[in-house]
Amino acid sequence: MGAKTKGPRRPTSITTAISMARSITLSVSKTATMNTVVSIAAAAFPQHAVVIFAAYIGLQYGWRAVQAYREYKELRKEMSHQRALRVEAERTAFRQGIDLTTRKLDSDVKSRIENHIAILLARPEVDAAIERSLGRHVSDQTRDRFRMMLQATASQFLLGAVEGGKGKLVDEAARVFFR
Amino acid sequence: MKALKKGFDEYFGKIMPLAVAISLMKTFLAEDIAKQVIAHVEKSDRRRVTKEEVRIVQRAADAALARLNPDVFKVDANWSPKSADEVRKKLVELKFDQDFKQSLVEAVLHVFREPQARLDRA
Repeated sequence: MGAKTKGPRRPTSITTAISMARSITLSVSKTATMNTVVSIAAAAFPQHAVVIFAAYIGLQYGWRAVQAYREYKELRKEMSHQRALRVEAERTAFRQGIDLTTRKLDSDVKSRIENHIAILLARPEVDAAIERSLGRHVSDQTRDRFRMMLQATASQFLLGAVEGGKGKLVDEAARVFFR
Repeated sequence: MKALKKGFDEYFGKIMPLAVAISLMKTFLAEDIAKQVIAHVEKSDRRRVTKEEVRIVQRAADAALARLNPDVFKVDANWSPKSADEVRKKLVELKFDQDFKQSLVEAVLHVFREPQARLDRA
């Protein structure tokens, strides 16, 4: 009772850190949603991990993403007094993640992102941008077509930022997000 | 969450002008391609196309252009045109390869001529 754990099971042990990181990474990689989490993390490099997991909560990718984020936070808490160990655990997790993921998004996740983009685009600022771009003397049909194009292009940029390798312009835009 | 929202807003704030510009280019190019396809159909079939057919062609052209990689337009990531005219000017300056336009026309024609292709696209 109250005794400090010794040996390889002690919380600050590198073995524990790696096994925790590995179990998180493996559970994270089991579902398509989690594959996406790892894909984004892989694209963003380990130092952006917190933002990436937070992004998943923001994008409402389900309870599993929240759980993964909490576990990740717990891991960080345990390792906080030994920074080097924590960094190593993160790196191990993400290196493992990069190996396990195909960087290809599940179609269901893709459509969720597209829906989210549609919600983001349904804003007064976007309407104002469309008005500015097209002027007032255009038909409703042209306006609708333009909105469809904007939805498709914004999706290309965001999905491309996640998946990577979708061209120079998309990659440049991705750097703005993941910098 | 607040920080996340800010990050997302920042991303869209920076990307939106570029996305708007590229979307405008796609919209204008789709109009151009649709016109070419309609002209081609009228010439080859020796008849006027119906309103419904015009809509089908426009939809097919829009779908084809929506999928185009933004790199095709060879614009800088920081490009944010002030008006639609500036975008049209840029589109003219680009002087697309005739083969490129032709391949788009053929893709749209295929969708127009083959009802199954239309269903596949949907």
